[in-house]
Amino acid sequence: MDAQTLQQTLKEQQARLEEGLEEARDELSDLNRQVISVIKRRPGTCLLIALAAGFVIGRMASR
Amino acid sequence: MARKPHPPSRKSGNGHAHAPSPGLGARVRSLNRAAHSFKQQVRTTASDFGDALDVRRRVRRHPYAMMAAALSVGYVLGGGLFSRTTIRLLGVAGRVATLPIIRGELIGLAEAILAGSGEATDEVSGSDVPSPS
Repeated sequence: MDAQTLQQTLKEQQARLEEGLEEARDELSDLNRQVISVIKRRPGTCLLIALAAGFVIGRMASR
Repeated sequence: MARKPHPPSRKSGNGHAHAPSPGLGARVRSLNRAAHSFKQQVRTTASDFGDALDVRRRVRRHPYAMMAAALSVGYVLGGGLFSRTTIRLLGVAGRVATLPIIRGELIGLAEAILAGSGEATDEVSGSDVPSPS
């Protein structure tokens, strides 16, 4: 494998990686939007769930 | 002297007269009214408290922060505050918080050292070695 082929392969890998990162970023951004939308739609329920989850975690941590 | 006998009275030992005892239905109605009043007061207080805190607006503005706050309150209420897990978590949080500061300081130090050595090299090259041009 000569240097030019190696360089080409590395460039392809980099492009693929960048594409994957971009997709992951988009998916995370979508997820973030959905979570925020749910929290804004039902703030009381979400707060209560978070409170309950914290309580359970605290209980588990205290043992 | 002969004492007159007391007329029959309906006073109790503490001097108060006994009211005619209400029926069970009246008592239940009174209790019901008291419970309703208490419920209304609790509801009004909760509503006022909610308005004062303005939880909805706060959640809309900072959703994740409010969730984290609720989680923390639950954690404390669950008794996890004085536990080994909390100490570990605080240690990790402290390290994570101080890492950027330490990194910045180290970078500043390295830059200062490099700048100092660069100036020293310039001084040395300027005094002893003639420039190629």
